[in-house]
Amino acid sequence: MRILKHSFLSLLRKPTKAVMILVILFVVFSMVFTGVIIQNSIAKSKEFVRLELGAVVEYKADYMKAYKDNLSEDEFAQMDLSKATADNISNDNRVEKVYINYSDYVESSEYEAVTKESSGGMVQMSVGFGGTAYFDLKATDGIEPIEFDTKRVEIIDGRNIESADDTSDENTIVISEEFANKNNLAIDDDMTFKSYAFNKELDFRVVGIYKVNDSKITGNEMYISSKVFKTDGAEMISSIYFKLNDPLEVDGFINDQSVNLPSKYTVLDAGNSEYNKLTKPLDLMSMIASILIWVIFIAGAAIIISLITIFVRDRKFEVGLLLASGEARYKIIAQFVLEIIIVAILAFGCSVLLSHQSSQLVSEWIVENQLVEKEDGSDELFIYDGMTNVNGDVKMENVAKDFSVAITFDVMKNLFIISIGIVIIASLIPLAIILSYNPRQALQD
Amino acid sequence: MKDIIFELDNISYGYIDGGKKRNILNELSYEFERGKFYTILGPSGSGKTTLLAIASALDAPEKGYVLFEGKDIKKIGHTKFRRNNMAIIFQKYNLTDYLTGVENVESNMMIVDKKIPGNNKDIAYKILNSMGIVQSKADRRVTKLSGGEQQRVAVARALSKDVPLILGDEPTGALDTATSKEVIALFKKLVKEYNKTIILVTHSDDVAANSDISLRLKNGKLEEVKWD
Repeated sequence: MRILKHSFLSLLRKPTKAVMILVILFVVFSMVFTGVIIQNSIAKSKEFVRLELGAVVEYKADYMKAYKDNLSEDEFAQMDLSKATADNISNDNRVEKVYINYSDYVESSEYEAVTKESSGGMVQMSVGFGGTAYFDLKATDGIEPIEFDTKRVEIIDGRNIESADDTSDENTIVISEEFANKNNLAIDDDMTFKSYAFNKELDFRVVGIYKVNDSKITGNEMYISSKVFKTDGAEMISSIYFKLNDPLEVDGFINDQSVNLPSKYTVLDAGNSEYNKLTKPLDLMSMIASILIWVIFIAGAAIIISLITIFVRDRKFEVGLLLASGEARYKIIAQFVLEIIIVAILAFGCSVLLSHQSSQLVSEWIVENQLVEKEDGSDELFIYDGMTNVNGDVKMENVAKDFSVAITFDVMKNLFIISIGIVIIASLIPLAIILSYNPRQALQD
Repeated sequence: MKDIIFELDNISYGYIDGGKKRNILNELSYEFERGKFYTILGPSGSGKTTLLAIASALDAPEKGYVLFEGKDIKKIGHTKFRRNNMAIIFQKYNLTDYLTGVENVESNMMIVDKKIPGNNKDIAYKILNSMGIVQSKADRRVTKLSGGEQQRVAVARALSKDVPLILGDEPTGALDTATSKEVIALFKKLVKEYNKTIILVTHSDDVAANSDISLRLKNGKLEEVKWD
């Protein structure tokens, strides 16, 4: 009771030093909070980028590295993707599905390819010399191709390729709506293409027609059964995708499973270069915020310790008087610490209010001047590779939208614990020194 | 048979001065009776204040024992002894400057272990009133009171604990003659009516002459003074 009463009376009646501590704590807390909030927001935005990039990891050959290392033709052959490796990696419980894909470029002078205008106004052509058109035959082992799974394309007529097609004598094919319209094709029509890989004519019967939902898919992609690619005991795997249960597990999965790859020229990739490009400005800001936090934190703690030392030293006589009256040392410590905590709580409350406002301003500035501006100035921040990014485009514009700053209860709780911790430690040091004196010494000054 | 409340037993204390050890208390022993008013005289530097600091457990002797009601105060615990068994009044009032007179008195009552019956604030006003500090003055911050008034508050603060032993280090040293006389009269009343034991360190022969027993600190030992 005495502790509580005297704490309040001391603060109310001798407020000068308490106000000084309040101001310093307020400034230090506000700056640290703003930094922490920005860092949290950056972490959230990075998570957002990872979520947008999706939970698909591609097992692929690293041709750039191979060219750089000047590999021989024999060594290039060792870069073929291994189904055994894929099966081994798929045992990881983070893996939801494995897509083992096959593809082949085929040509035909009978059919007209779909032409599409890209976002830059360029016309995407699949037509070669002499009226020959080129098409992309695709197949996936056992399950629906990933484009169907992720709704980038969807069946609108007929059916998709099924496991029964793998054992059927007839070759089946699923074509795009645009291609079908352009070439007057319908379900049950027959088609013929010339394969480069097999160097022969391949006959198909149309069993399904799909609609394109993603601008990156031209409509010249045809889906067939994987049995076509498994002739003469050869397997021509073009790509392997692992779809994970959670996009946020991607980094851990790549770290853990990279050691199981048979060659250093094969890699696990989850749009890493795109992720890095998108998160590079965020990392830079995070680093600056981190340095800022530590500098303010250390300088602030030093100032707070000095101020509290003065605050407590100034009351050495009062400590002596209380000791002479028989007050327990722990109660004297409790009174002084309580006074500092009251001031710290006030400063904390003001800082939370201010940092909420200031961090919103800072984040708006970051979004307007650092993130969106960079997107305008550099095309590199767009993802053009639709192979790995099966969920569609990730633009900095979307990342910026997610760059929100809200003080969550958890953040506030952690900041409160840290702040009060510093203040208690800062007040205990000078108090411990003063209380180590005997009461006579304390009263003599 | 003597009723001994407080005893200094073979107390020695010294300090290093210019590289040499100087003993200011030298195997000092004395027994203080309950319900008596003692004064300790001695010239400056004779060790009066040190003796009082040791007696009030504000400092520890190099050698010897301080006994309260036959128990070593080390065993009682210095802090507990100061809290529950004695009160001390200093020359310079020694009050908490951000509290009012009544709050200073009340705060001392909150420190003691035993619950003082009744409302602490009312008791504090009553004690202050008996010291000539009316309520309007008792409610002022002590820094707004005169030196004499502050010393009265300090005495009231000591009395509020209702302990059997009161020690004072020149408690009238900063007071004018009239106030000093009032305070001494109050001490005498406390001894006579409430059976308190009061030990004051003083350099004033007038104060000493008013006590039951005067002692002089000489060569590190206490000897009784006979007044003619």
